[in-house]
Amino acid sequence: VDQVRTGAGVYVPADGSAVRLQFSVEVDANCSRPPNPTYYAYPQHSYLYTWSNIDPSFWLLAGFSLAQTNPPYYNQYCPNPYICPVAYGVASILNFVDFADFLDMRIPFRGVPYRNVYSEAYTLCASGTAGWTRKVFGQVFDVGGVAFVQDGIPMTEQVFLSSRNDLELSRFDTGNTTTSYDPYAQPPRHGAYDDWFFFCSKHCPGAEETDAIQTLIWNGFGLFHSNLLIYKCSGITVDGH
Amino acid sequence: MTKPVLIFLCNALLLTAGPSLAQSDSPLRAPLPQFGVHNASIPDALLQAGQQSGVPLGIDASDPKLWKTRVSVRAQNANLGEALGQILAAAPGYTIAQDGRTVVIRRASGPGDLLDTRILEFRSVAGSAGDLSLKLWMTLVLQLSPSRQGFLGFNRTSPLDKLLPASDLSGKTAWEILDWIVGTHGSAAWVAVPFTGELGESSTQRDLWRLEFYPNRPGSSQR
Repeated sequence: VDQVRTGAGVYVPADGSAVRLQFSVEVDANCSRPPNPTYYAYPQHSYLYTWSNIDPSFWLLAGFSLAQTNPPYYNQYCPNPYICPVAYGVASILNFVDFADFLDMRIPFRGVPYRNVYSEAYTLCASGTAGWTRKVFGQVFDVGGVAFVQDGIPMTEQVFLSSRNDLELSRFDTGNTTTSYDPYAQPPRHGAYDDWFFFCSKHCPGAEETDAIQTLIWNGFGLFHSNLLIYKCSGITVDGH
Repeated sequence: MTKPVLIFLCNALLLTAGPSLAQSDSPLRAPLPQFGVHNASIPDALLQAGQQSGVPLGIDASDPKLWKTRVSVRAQNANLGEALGQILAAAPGYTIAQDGRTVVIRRASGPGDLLDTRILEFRSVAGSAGDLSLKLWMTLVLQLSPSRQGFLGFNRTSPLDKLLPASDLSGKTAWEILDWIVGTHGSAAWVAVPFTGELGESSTQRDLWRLEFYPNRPGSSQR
């Protein structure tokens, strides 16, 4: 009989497309019956879960090896986009499903700036242009407003210019960073990320404005709440901050 | 077997903004007691030699073939010039020159590229090497594409970066300015990367070159 030995949820996208989980599985290598694709639901929870399509490579491997680490079968049900109870387990060749665990996984929701490092005219624009530069520290929160405090989480971003682009800015570079401890926060906190902005425009000085949408990506997970970036010759704001 | 290597030392490209080095102080003589790279691309091998010696480098690696060629080099009690020569034995047609404090690896001949563009105006207040590199990129783009109106982006400073003094490098070529930036920083390199597109609205500095800051070496003191 197949047994789930260990399991750990490491990443949960909320669109239901994939859950990356790692398992250590003991497989009954003597069973060689083909899988039945209609028995992937755990009976007591079938009203919640519909098993995803099975990975045929797993079956092939499961039937012929004593240890299998991935990919497992997975499923998830999201009552809303922010909180996902996740069940994970494996279906054996005998169509027996053994759940390893259930988790209520917190979904990162938004990044919020909490500390301004500097916000000033950018003195290193190319000749004939002027602009602004700003650096902030921020933190990722779930929908309940609870901060994620893990250090070492890689973060990237996507920035899209909106239709309002009076300053005629062109995308330049997007950044990446890693969450870390911020000893200068009041109080000091873990899980902080640094966010840097600049622009230079021939329209500055002036009253024009460019708006952009920033989506932060935390550990490969695009946050649901995007930040509105407003660029003016006199400053840069991040979601009103 | 190591191929014989001819090293060209050209002191003709000294920038007024940086002091020239006497021959005895040539950065090419910087010691590399134990240098070794295994199956590295030529630009990566050159960078490692720069990092281990602590000498600023300018590397024209805009030819994709340079990245595809793998080299393994081991040298005992060598100096930087000898190590670079061994690496470049696999890349005929490249020269090693000195530009102020920076050792420059370039093609000996060939079509000029964007970095040969003479920058008409480049006056700067004090700024980090990264910010000056960014300014150079924007200046180059505006000079070549005057219709571009502005830039938006991310100007994260490396923790290994440092503040460079105000400068006026107007009239220098882009690569001479890069030499000055890394040479003045003292512990960095610029690497030109293959570029096949045009300087369009979505192009970035990283499409043309990147700055590499050398990690602090144990026991070394930061200037």
